[in-house]
Amino acid sequence: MSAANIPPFERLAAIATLGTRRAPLPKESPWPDESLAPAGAEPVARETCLLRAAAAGAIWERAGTRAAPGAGAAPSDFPAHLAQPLDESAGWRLARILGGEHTHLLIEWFEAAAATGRSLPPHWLPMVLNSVATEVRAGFGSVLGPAAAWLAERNPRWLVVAADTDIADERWQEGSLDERRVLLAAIRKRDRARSLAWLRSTWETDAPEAREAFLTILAEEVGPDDESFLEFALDDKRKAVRVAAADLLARLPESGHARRVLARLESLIELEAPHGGILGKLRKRKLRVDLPAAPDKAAQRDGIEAKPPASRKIGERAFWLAQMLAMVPPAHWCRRFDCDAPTLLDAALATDYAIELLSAFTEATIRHPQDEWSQALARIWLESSQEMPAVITAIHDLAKSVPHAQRVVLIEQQLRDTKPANADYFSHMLDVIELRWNAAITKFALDNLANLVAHSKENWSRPRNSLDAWARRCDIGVGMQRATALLEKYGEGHHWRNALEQFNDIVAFRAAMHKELLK
Amino acid sequence: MGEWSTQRVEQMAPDGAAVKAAQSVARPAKWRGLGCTDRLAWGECQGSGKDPYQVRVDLIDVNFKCSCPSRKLPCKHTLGLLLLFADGKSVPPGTPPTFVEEWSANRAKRAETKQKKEADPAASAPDPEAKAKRVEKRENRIGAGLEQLETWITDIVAQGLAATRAQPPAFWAQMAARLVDSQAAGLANRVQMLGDRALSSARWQPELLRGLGELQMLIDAYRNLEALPPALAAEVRQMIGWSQAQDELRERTGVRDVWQVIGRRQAQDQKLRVQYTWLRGSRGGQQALVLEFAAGPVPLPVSYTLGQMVDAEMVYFDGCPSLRALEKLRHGVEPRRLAFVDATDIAGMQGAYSAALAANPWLGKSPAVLGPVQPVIDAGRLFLRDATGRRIAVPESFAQQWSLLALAGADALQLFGEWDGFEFDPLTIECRGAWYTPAQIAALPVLSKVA
Repeated sequence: MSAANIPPFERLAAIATLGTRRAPLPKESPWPDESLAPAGAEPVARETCLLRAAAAGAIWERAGTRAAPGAGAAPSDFPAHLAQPLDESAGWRLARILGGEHTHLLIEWFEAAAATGRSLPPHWLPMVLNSVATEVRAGFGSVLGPAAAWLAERNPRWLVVAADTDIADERWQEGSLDERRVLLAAIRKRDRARSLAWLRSTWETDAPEAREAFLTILAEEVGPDDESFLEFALDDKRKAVRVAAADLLARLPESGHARRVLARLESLIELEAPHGGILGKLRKRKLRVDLPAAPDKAAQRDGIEAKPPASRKIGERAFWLAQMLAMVPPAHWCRRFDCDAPTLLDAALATDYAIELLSAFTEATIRHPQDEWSQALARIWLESSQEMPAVITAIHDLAKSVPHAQRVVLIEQQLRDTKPANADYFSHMLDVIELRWNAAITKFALDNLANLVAHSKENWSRPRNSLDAWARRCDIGVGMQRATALLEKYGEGHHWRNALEQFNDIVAFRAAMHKELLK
Repeated sequence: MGEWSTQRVEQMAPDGAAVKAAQSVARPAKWRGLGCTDRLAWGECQGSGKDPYQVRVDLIDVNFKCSCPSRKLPCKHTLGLLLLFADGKSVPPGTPPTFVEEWSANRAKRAETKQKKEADPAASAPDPEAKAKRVEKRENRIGAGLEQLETWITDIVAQGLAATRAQPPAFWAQMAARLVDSQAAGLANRVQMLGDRALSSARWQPELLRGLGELQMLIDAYRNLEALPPALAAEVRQMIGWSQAQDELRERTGVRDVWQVIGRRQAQDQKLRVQYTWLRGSRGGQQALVLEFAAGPVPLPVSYTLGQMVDAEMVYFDGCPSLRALEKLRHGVEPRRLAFVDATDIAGMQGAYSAALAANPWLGKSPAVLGPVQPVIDAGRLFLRDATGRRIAVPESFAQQWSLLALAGADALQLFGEWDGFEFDPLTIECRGAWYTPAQIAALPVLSKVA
């Protein structure tokens, strides 16, 4: 480029940067147009001359600035606008949650939004794509609507897997761990064979934490078609991967793994045959339990560990038995001994290994959930003389293993059968179990709370701390009603006042949230 | 009264915490004597004090008063009352009680006295001789200040911009302070801003040279003030630091029109918060900019809401172009209108800007209604493109780029915003018959539909 082609302003900027003491003014005119040069002006300092010409040059540029024409035609492929999107107020509420207000309600917002079958107006999407975790978004594609995929195509930072578009193998090979988890979960819903092919294609080079993460996704809906891959993962270098693979295989009752475990276990357990006659029916059947020998290499490969963890107070041999028992569907024993769950459990409790067997059956039921067993086990735990944390953990895990609707039934059933003395256990349990309470559970919990407020004298107590969680889980109608009553009863200055107000705020926030989603 | 929605009330709140506080107040159980008319809404709210707080709101002029001591305005009681009003059920029609009546009557009376006072020319005439003396003294000081400034910028160019950039912030602050002493506050601000940009901008070279060139031009212009057209001369005097007395201004005859509020923006100017409100006369098509200021914890006034149609007389400050104005007298408020009229395409806007730049070479941001345009993303930057294919950039600091793109989809937009010759900064967006403004919820940039 010759000097004459450089815009005058740029040339002046180059001179000014060095300073006129070092760089002389050019011979050619510094003015953007010759007609601007002051005619017959009195002599001025070089610097002043440069500044005047620079000012003129700057205006010259600004008056005519135009961006170079470029690509970017009107996007004709933008998805058609939705007939009835969610109301603006729903977007505002979501923004407030994402901005830090009651952040725990994010999933509830999305679930309720998904239930309406409607999507967000597209102008809220960039906020969601920027601030909501990829996995949450992937679970609620319908709330985002088709515009999200359109936007993600234009912004490489966003990953949106649309239900109707194909996912190229390259994306699996090149994505970040976070993205690949989402992609794997998405492809598994559509084409399980391809999801396994993907896994095998990169397994050797995937980092251990990636392998571990991918197995978690297989756990969603593990099936017989996963068996050969999981068998292969049993020989993984990382222990966590081997443990996860064994756990998943144990969930497949028809798998080779399940048959191998059962073969080792079958002869060690025997339930006495039912006694004849009327009196015989009343007599309890006895359970005979033999402890196994140390697990060999093959058993260890199947996930049976030789040494119990230091935290567990259990004998080595009992531990070997418990691990195997925990892998087998409990329904197997009912079939084999022709009995129901309470009968078998009663018999187990009468043995020398009562608590070990109870824990093992609980673990087995968590792996292979079945209503009869969950109910029976929850009852036994509640009535056992075990310490509260152990009881609560067991029931928590049992509840967690079943879908939400069944979880509600399980908890409500226990609640109905429970003795008043166990009420305290229950309020503890409700703190930890993730559950959307129905009206009955809410009533029970809030009655309990009212009772507690009426009798508490201390400034601090545990239930006060868990009130936030209760407010997030309770039935909104009942919650609002009870909260109002409590607030009326305990005015300003009462030591529960702040906690109750906070409870009320959260419930009111939820009520407003649901109302807006239905607008 | 369907104009009052929950969202509109939330948008009035000074921040998110205020919204939250207002929601806890917005329960009928906390109130006594709720009522409303076509113009007013009121109620008494039990707060932590002994007596309930008396809250009253003028729904048309958007004015309010609460007897609580809060300095954050509108307070949670005012917002709470409006939230209740917005839900359409909790505030029944009624006759205003005394405290509302009195307030409303007082406001009307105050407006009247103000009007009378303005109509009375024989207020206080200052001693013209003393004033002339003061003016002369100041002119001398400014003259000396200009000399110093010219020497200083000449020296910068001689030493080189690169050497100047290495100077500490005090280098700029000292020159600015000397200009303040010379009573040329406008110049002082320019020097300070130039220093900030020199230290922070990636394009510091051309920006610094441009700023210095503008200063040189300003020095030249002030020395030849008589030779300039009157409007430009007034503009130059203001840029130096002469301010125009608002009392004098109010005596002028203004322009009466029904003004549509088409854009709002807030900015932090050193210690002051400034609220920019853009108006457009629905009959005359003239534009006006009203500036309102607040310092420290004092809230900005809520004199205008977006889309509002204000029947008022506006007086303009001198300027080139004449844009900044004061509201002299308000005659009333008409129902809101959320639609732009006469938008221009990009060439039209640039043509008008060039003409204005020819009249005032220091012209900065200039308002324009642009449309129909299509937002497009190219290499990560947002552009606006009109039907002729011409396109202009949106500043990278505009945080709602993607929201704007998603809002438009395949449709075209009309935008009101500020054009500085390089970039167009949108303040109000019209899309499919609704208005949106860039907003922040917590720290999240969003587009908020004007409800």
